[in-house]
Amino acid sequence: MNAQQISLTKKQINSFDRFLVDGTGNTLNALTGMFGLNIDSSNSTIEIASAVHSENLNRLGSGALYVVSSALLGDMQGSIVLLMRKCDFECLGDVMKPILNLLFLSSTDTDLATLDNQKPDWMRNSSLNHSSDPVFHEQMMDTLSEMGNVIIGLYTKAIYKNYKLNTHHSLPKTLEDPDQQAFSQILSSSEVSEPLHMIIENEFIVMAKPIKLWCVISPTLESFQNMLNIIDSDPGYGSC
Amino acid sequence: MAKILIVDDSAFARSSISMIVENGGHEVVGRAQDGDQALLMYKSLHPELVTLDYLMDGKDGEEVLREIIQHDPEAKVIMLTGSGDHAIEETALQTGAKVFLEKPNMYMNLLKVIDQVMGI
Repeated sequence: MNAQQISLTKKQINSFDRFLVDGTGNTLNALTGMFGLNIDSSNSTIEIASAVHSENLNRLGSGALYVVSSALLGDMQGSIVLLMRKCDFECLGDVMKPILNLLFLSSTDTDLATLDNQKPDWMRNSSLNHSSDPVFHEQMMDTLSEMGNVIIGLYTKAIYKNYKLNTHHSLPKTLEDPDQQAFSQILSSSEVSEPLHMIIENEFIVMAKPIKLWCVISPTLESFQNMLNIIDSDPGYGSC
Repeated sequence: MAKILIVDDSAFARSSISMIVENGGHEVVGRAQDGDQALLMYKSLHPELVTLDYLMDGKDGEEVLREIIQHDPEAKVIMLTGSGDHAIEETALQTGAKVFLEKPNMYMNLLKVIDQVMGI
């Protein structure tokens, strides 16, 4: 764990490392169950930072992103954002194509053939299409949205498990972010004053392909302090 | 075999649940993508069991559950959620959901839970 920007004790760093292990492990199991694919985790890091900027997200690059964001509600207030680079999203798409073909082949309801004015913004404003296959692109965006909902739920569960803060999330918003402006806006327009950021970077190996996923959890300063107090008062975390 | 109504705003989730329950020998009588559609389908299709997503645009799962139970106090509803919040689980069970199942576990356990709710 990198905690250079925020002064944390060894005990607090251990606790965040344990939170990372829980979150990553849960995510791995969930994705394996959801997609029925062989998925491994190759690398996970967590960084606590007072600001999200190019240095702590340098591997994210400056290209198009796919973003799933929710508000954190309950004992921990703030926001949570999942980020995937376009290259990772397309790589996931390559792996998912046979699965989605099979899943949506048997669709008998209106599913993705909704009227244009009933579609969410990301469908209407779609500009980044998978190999000019808009139907498959819509399926992938819907899949990302559900995947984001599940993963965000797993991180709120890890928050409860580690800090006993009963937390849930709002309906996630999924969008394409060609120039990363939407991501910047989410961080700056957050109703959270003076948030801190828990920046989690995961690399999963999905059918031998490396796919990176970032999760930025931004609790309010008060919620973050509350979390630190819980860690400090819990003898279970130890000091080494 | 149970006649099942699937309610979820995600097409991926609807299709996944559909595939799981059909592979388990059950019949999917309807797939609703929001709360209003779910209530209409419940009244017209008379499913024996409903899988209901908690977090949906418009009416959320709790609101839909309340309306289904109001219409049919004996309704068998399995609430599915991506959230691990215990307060939400307690409210759903008090409102009348038979089981509250977290989505990550759903992919492994849904058939077992359906059998349990149907008393099979």
